[in-house]
Amino acid sequence: MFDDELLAERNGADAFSELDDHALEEWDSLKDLLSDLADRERVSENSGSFGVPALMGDGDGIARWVLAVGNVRRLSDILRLRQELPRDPWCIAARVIEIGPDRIRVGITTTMRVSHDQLQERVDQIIRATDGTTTDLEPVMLQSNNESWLTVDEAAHRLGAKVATVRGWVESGLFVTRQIETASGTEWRIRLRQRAAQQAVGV
Amino acid sequence: MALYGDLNDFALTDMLSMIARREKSGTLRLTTPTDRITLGFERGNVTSVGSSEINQHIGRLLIRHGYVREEQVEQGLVLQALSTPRRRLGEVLIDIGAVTRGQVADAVADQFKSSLVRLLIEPEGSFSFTSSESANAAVETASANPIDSVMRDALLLAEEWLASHPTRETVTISEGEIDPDALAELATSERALLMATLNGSSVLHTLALESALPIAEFDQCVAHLTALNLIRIDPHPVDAANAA
Repeated sequence: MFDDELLAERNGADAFSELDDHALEEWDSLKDLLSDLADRERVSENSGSFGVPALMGDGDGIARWVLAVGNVRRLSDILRLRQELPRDPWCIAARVIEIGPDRIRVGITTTMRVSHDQLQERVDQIIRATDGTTTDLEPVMLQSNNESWLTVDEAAHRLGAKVATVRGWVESGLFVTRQIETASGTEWRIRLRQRAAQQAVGV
Repeated sequence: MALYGDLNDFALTDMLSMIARREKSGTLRLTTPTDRITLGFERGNVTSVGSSEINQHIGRLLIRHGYVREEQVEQGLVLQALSTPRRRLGEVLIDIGAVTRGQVADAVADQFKSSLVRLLIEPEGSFSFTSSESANAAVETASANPIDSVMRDALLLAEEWLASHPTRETVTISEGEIDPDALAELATSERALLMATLNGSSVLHTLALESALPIAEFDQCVAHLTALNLIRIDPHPVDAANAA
């Protein structure tokens, strides 16, 4: 539609961002937040459920989750979820990504400092699940420095989820997995990142 | 020559028409509560365009158009942060193959059109026009100017919208309980509108612009969503207060 030359600089205006200030601000805020969390964690390793959910040592990553809300009775519950979650210090963004015939999916981006169970608890607290409304939270991508293969137990600990829940996710193909032979038989090894990263979450 | 004032007092359409008719050269700056638009003119033709909203949200715009994934923008931002001197995000994304130059131009054009339509429908802000000597005598012979065509589209769209929606309205998510089958009844475009509303669009004409639907179709979708008690349409609070 636009010719590049016509869009070219004149009076300081052109087609491209001089720099994506807003996004950069968010990025800087995120770095500040992570740095702040790391400092606070050094002071107190276990500071309660939501003060600083000191779950893991490597807090410099981002986690993406998809929350599926079924049997939605009030759309205002979803709206409240989208508005209130980002007020929590570990939540970067929350956005409705799909409205299906029987459920609504919300993409949530957090720091790695919140576990699956903590996030689920917070979601249920906001939605105040009543009248059969269901919530199902799954990790989509966990981007951290640690890219190693994990056992199911390690993955469960890392995600803050129950081992059985993680097994279910593995069986449903949510993660990249491989089987290895160990002294105690065949075991699953899980990578928390790649397969899930293919599912884009719009934020 | 310098001319400045309030967009409520001096309609943007009149301003553009005056610049074109008198074949003025110079810079028109439009300042709204959310955007700062700069238009460069040569002998009445628009030759450049800039927008703070576009500059600040190029990554988001490209994601919304489906040209890049959020991960790619994040990667671009990291590369941008590491670049010395600091490079433009759009250029970084082009360099890593995430997006083409044409896609960036498309996203910018669409956003510029939306900004203009919003300004025409909701003329809040100020303008200033500073004239200058024409730098390029050949401009007057230039044929179809793509920026002109975007502006023409914007003027037509705003006119069409105002003809059927003379007052501003807001859209909000209904508080009440919904029919369990309501979501299953929705068409794809209705789902998209509902999603945009849940994600924060609260002014009806902004929602219409984001949807890119023809106005009649948009109105039908809104009527259906309202009938299902999923959304509520109200007069814009500022207009309502003025009327009162």
